[in-house]
Amino acid sequence: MAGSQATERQAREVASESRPGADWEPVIVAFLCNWCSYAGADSAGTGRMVQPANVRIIRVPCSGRVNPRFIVRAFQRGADGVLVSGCHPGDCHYSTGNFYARRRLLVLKSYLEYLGIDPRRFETHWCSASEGQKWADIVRSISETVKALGPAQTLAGL
Amino acid sequence: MPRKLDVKTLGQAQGALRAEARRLLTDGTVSVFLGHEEGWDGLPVAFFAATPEEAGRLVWNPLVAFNLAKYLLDRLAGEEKVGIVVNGCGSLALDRILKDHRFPRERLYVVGIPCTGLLDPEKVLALPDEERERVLEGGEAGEDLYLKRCGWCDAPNPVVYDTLIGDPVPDEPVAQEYPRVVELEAMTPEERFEHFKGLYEKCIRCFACRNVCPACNCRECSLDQWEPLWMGRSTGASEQLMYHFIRAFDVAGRCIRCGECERVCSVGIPLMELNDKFLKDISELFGVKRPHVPADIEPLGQFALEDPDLEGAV
Repeated sequence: MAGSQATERQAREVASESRPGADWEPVIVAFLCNWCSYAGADSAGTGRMVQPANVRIIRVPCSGRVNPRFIVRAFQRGADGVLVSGCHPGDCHYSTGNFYARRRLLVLKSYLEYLGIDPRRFETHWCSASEGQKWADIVRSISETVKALGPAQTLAGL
Repeated sequence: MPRKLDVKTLGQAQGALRAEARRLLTDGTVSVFLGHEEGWDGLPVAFFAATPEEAGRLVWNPLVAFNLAKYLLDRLAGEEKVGIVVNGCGSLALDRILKDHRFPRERLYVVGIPCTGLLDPEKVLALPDEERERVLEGGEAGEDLYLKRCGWCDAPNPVVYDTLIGDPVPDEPVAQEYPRVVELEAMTPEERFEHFKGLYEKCIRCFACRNVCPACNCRECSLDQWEPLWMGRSTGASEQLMYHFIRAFDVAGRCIRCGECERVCSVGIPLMELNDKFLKDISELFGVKRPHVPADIEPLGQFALEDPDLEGAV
């Protein structure tokens, strides 16, 4: 299974990156919808806005595509924080995808907290294609929050 | 509240059930009737009666705890009509399968029996012989002998049926409370994490909880899939966490709160701690009063514009 070997290797790389130290930097996995937030992140980049390099972006068709398992898996494989961002409610490219996502992620957030995972490590945002500045702010704020919290060892080290 | 066992009515119901099943099998309304028969150790086991004579083997007593609805999935192939007997919670399980469009209603003939409470078979079996007789024949059961779900049951009468045997029992609303979840929520995140870690470490992944669950009725279970490999094959708390997360999240909003997963768990993991959290959250966040009762559209399969927003929520 070449695919799963590659996944294991990536997981090890992510895990080794998040080993604590003086110059420790958190690893944050971001699931961005193709239509708004990914383009928003792109516009932050082309606008040359300064943002921390802690966020690893995974592009998904819609925030409704984000299976809650992705988020738990990211934590298991060594992510210190997870971010999901989609179009603003009402602006979904597929009309209603982010409304479904909102319900699901609302329940998920409460559940992660219940399982003993700090809820500040998981954030959901709505960011449109033109909101490059907002994206930069989101990245800055979550990076600072997660850095202050320290490495998330709980799930990965279970 | 646990309901009072009524042995006399149960006996009459068993007679009426056998007669009804015999009638259905004789006049060809159904080609097979799904009920319980007595197993080798005295506990009821699932039983497909295929001839009028076999209908005489059907039993109805306070130990028919497990719901039969999931056995219908074994009869998906073919066109034959299937008869099934359900009590209150059994009918919720059946309704779950029907609302999930997993078995056609036209191929079903449902015999409903109002429920006066069920006993935990394991606990009854563990009693000394004399006491067990007193419980089963005299109906003198202490509150601790009842199934946990009888404590929060608000559907003693079947919600789906074609024929009802006996009179409906008084059906008073029971406020759905989740005391164990509230208790856990009051703990610190670290304590909770350690608590759940202990449960994952205990799990041997026998899949009994998935197999018994009427809401776990997918054609192909994602836990069995190789690609994508959602849950690693190695055993360990980390993979067990993924297993229990997947299982609980996939039945979130569809769980009928029958507590069968917890009852059949071979290592005694209190699985309802995980399921109840979703039921509690769904009722609080989306205002669903009876989240365990199957609805046409499940709570997580719909949305409302006024749902709480979670942008940047901490």
